[in-house]
Amino acid sequence: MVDLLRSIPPGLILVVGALLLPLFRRSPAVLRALLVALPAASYAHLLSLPAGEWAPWAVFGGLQLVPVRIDPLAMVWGHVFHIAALLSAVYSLHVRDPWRHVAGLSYAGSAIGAVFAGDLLTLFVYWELTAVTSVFLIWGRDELDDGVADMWTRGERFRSGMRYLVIQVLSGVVLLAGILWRLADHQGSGEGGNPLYFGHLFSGSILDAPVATQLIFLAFGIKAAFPLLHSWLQDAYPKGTVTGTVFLSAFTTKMAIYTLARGFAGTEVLVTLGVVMTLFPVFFAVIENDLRRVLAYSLNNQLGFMCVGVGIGTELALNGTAGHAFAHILYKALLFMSMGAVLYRTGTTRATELGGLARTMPWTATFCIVGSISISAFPFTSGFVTKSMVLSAAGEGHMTWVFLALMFASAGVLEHSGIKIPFFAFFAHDSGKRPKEAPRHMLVAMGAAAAACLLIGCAPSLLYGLLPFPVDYHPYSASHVADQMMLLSFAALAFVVLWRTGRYPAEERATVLDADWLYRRAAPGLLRMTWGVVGGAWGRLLGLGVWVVRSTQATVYFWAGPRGFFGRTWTVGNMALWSIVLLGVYLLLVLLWG
Amino acid sequence: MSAKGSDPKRDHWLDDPRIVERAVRLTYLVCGLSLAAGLVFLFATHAYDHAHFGFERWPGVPALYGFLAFVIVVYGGIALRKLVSRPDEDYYGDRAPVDPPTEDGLGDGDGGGGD
Repeated sequence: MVDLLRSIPPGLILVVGALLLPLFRRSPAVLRALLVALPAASYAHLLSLPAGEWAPWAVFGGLQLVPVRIDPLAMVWGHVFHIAALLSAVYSLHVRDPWRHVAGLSYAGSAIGAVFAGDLLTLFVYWELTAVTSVFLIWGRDELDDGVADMWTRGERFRSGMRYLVIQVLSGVVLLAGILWRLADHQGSGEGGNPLYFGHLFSGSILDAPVATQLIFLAFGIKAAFPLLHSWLQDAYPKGTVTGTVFLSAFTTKMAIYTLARGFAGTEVLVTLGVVMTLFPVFFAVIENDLRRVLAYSLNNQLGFMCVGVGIGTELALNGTAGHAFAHILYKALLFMSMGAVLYRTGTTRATELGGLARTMPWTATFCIVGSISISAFPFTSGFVTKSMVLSAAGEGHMTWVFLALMFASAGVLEHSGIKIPFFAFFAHDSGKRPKEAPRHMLVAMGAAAAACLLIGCAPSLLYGLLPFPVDYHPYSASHVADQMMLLSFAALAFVVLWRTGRYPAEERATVLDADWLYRRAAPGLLRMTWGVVGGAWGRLLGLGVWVVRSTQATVYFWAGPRGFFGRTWTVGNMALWSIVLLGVYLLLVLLWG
Repeated sequence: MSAKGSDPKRDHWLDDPRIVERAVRLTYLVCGLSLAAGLVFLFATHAYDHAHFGFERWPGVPALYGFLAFVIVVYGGIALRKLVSRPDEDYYGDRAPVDPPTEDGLGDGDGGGGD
């Protein structure tokens, strides 16, 4: 029995178990029990598995798959993915549609399977499975639907989900292309070893990497929301269901960060990309009205810190990335849960329609504030003890501009996630809305996530003990605490000054254009314009041809038609006369010039 | 749907006009304390001996940097709004009519709502 259990790959219990949930459609109590039991069972199963790699499975063409590899790096994600799945499941207990739970849990299971995949082909399978399962968290019938509407009638969510699916699947296709190219390269070179093995793939300048490696890097980058490849995140996540977005926030992007940490530690361009990722979202978040979209920008910003850590590639930096991914999943899920509760109770997350909800949703507001101070990295919260590792790694590498950019981004995080989210939803002006407090199970999930954020902040050794490399880092040095408090408190002071002097921008109902404008407006517009130019030119060319043919026809008809000059029936006298005239002219010319 | 009392807008502590002033004073206090702590650690201890960069030993730099960064982010956002913000919420034209929230969504039961 034990051997049988040990032959089940991590995450598979969730994927297969989720498929059984519709059998209990008519037994809500059993459904709820299973919803919580499945992530717990999957976690217990993972913890029971010994570290190491499974023996390779030989498949076609002598290739070898390593379906499971359990090592310290993967285990960081294994722990936090299970915790996130459990919290999200508790948060979703009110959802009666079992298919929504199938999507959520199988998505979580796929992501868990991906981080324990020891070869690229297994990774590809899980990679695509996360795409296919997670789209139903966007398409799924929302709690706010009236029971008649279904996914096909809610055009905005459907179209957004379709764009999400296309981009996610495209990422998988690029990954597969990279894998196949890698196999071809390997066979051509005649080297030994397993070309499918997913170990460290590259470090240094990505321009010097083989094309196969560049393709794999691009595939990871799409899901990690690299700049200009990022807008699927801000497009789709805010349109997910109340509970679906909580699941979405945890898995796809952090799975991609894991693959980058596994395959591309020390790849220099990740530092630059990461810095850009930390910076540009903070400006968009200032002007975004939908608070769940603000959180999506915030998520992008946090991924930037992790990418910088992977790019630096030292043990401290990779510990920072892993630790920050762990902490980030918890406080980001907490923030999405709190905004989900607001959406559930009020029907909106537009800042223009919210305000003053702390009157009737005090617990949700409190948990949201814990998430906000955690993401802002205040001392005694999880963000403080993890983000600083990445900053210290940049400092140890004497990367002055990277360090300054990350400090700048930290002040930006305080603006959008630390202040804007809780302030506009729960305080600011009184919107007049008096919704009920969030349901109990949502409060339990939020409370547990908030407690975890504070626990990690107060006892960082609990998290440091899980990190892939030995940790010799002490976040609570006097200088670090003082510097961070100065940075954050004076940034908050700037908010106070701007707010009280009326210079802080008011929220507006609007659409904020992002990189998706390129393929939603610019590319179709360019195609239409190109089609117009080509079509117009073709039309003119056809018109010219027709005109030439018709003109020739008319000319020929004019001269040689029934009434044309050459078409007439000439008399013998006329012929003789014209012959004499022509001969006379010829004679004259000969006499003159001959 | 409403909180306890006949007029929750008056009863709640959030409606006390002094609360804003208290929050502002608290911000000033935290700013003052953190700046003072930073200066004490800088000049009276060896806390900054292992700083990675020279500018970390300049007094009050994180405070100034945090303040300026926040202002730049906000004014950068205002400038960006002119460039990328469109007043039409359905700029791309793919929004379906929004269905009204159900009683389940806004209703009384904890955990009874939704589908």
